[in-house]
Amino acid sequence: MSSRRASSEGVKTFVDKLKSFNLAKGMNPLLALLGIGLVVSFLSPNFLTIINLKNILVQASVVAILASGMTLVIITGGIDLSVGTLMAMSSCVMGLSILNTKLGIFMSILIALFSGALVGLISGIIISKGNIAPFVVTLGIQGIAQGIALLITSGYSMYGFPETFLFIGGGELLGIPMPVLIMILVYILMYIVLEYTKVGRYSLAIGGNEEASRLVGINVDSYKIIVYTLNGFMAGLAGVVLSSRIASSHPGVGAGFELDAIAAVVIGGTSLSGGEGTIVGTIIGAMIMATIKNSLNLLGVSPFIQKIAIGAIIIIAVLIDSISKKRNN
Amino acid sequence: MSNQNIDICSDYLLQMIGIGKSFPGVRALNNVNFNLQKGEVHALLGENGAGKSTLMKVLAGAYREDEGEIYISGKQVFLGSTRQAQNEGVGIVYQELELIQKLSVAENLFLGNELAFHKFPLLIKRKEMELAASKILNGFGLDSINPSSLVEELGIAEQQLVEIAKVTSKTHFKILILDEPTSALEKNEIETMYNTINMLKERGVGIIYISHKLDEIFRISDRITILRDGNYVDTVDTNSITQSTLIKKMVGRELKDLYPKQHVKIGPELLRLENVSSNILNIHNISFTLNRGEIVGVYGLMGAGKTELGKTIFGVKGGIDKGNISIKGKKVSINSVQDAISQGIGLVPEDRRDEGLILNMSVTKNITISAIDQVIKNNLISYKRERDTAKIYKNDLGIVTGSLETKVRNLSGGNQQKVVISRWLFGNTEIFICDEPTRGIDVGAKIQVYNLLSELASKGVGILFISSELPEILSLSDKIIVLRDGMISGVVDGRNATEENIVTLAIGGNIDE
Repeated sequence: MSSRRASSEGVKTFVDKLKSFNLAKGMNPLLALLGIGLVVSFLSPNFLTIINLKNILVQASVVAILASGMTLVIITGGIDLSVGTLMAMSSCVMGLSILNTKLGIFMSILIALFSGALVGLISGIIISKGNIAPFVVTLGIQGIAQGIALLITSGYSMYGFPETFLFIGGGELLGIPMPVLIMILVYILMYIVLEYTKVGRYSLAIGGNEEASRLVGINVDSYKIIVYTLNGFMAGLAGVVLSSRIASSHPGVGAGFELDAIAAVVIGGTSLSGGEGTIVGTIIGAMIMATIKNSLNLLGVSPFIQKIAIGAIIIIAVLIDSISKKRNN
Repeated sequence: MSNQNIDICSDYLLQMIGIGKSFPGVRALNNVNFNLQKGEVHALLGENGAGKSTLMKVLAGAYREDEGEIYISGKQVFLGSTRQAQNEGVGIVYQELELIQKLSVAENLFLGNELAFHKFPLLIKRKEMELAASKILNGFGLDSINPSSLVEELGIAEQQLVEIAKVTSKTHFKILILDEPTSALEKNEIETMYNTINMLKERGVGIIYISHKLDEIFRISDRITILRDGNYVDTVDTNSITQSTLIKKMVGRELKDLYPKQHVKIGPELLRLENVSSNILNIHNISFTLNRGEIVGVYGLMGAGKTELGKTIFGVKGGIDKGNISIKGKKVSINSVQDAISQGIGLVPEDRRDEGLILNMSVTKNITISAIDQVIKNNLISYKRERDTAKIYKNDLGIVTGSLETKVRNLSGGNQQKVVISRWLFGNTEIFICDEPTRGIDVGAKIQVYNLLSELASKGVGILFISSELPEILSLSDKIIVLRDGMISGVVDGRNATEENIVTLAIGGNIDE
């Protein structure tokens, strides 16, 4: 009994120490990720191999990119349900541009990113200036973005992209898969945005207390618009990476990804009520989801059961969060 | 104990004896006595914070008294919950009505006591309920109201009468508490309210009537009980007392020199308002000046527009509709909070937790949030500069906190207030609008806040000191603006001000010469 208590106290002080580092704010998810990895590495010899770990990272990357923007949105106390179909829209815009114009790959990608950002901007303006619940606005935008994707492609898929484009999703640089590299760059950028810029600080303030934020002079509307625009941009980027990985553009790209992104954010310890959250937690959240999917595959679990498992894990993550908060209060 | 001289007597509908109630850091009620007879309207009178609503919440079962006894019809009762109070025949109608707007009148009248089928208790007998509802409404002369219409379709006055009908139609109903019942009513609607009250009197209901309006109290009440600072002052027959004696009893306390104001030389003009009006905030024709080193008090009863005046100047609801605001002699236009802040104005809001602080952020981040540009180096926030800044204010203002990384949620009220003030000091604010800066903090911390405000003034800052506590306003202010209905009803020099003349101005009486 007493030795167990002593060791749990030892762990506690260790955790406290880690918590004093800014990077380690997402401690619980990291421990969960390591725990899952440890268990699965015993169960399956194929888990702890370079190829498989690379595979997990690549699988996590698209959702992680999407979830980085979503983290900021959720920190402001909002939500964005449109990012999945926004991926599809950006993907289709890019596909058409690559295949049907002479703009070239680089310009086409830029157009895709900006079309995502533009839709995010519109969502942000409607949410802040129209004072409408983000859930409702982005649900509407979800349908609109899907409709645009279908309209411009007449519902068909596009194939036959040049090899240089496919490098984005399938190539490697210094042994690191490109999607993973892009994910890492995005997370460095978003970490800086959240921890070291006004956008991040004000997002935390707005989500923590919107009225107080107004009264300390924060232009709440403008910063919400910035956050939704950034989120739309990330959706565009996720669409580009995914299209490159699967070597096609079609209106069904990214279907349901908004929920995976939200799940990654929540598993990463960001509060859905806003005001609290970390970017590091989110990338770990995305890793946890990918690791679990990967492990269940390795263990030969039916994909139907995988869906049940992922659902349960989302609930458990939030439950742990709410219990630990109750204890703190 | 003085309690022992009071007979428990079944002639009284209600006796409350020696009631005491404390909240953390505040003694809200201290040995208060109150009684009520059948068919009587008994007014409860006192300043803001005198303990009226606390006493009534004890009676309504919303608060549990710490000391004292309550007797209803001579029988001792324990009112642990609102449900229990209702069962003992006590009902309260608050200023904010508790009707559910989207339900029908009948559904509201029977809310929680729905008539249901005996065998299927989840099935509601709608027709019977509406029939019973119309009977109740007829009893109140409200024949014109259709029991099946939604509450939101009714006017405020009708809603209020429905609420009274709802509260008083419960079985064994004996005691009705009315909290400022006429504050939202037009003149002719007030007459209807009086008629309803008289009808309930005739039925033998005892009515406790809370109001700030003296003319109403003289018109409708039989007796008046006066509270002051949570203490019982007196109970008098309404027709044996004059308005001025009543005001004296309300405020007549010894002004202890708790809050020493430093004598500060008053400097040049900082802020000038000329005929400022804001329709949305219901502020009309406000003119005054605030100078360097000056503390200008703003007093008024609830709903007089004190907070709204602060918000008008701070640009919270956009620009003003009429008039001019000048800062240091120069006309400015303030159309947003950002404009106000860039003119050197800072607001310490009334509701610290909901409007002043971001509770889940650290002390440091709460201090720097408003002037974050000052800690940005090479386009990035410098955590070192932030910490250094926070350290300075922690030491200067004596903020007591575990660490500067502690969430501000975990600080005491007084220390939270210091964080808010630090924030504006860091933003080089010269005009402080302090709205009830000592609300909800204990006496020791209050004195620290007073000293802090005096010290700020001595450094050349101008302070608009909004408060509903007379002693602090009288002792700190160089000049006191009294508001009523969003307008200035008088400006009193701080040296000549007395509680009587300020309350008289606030209530709307004339100062006797």
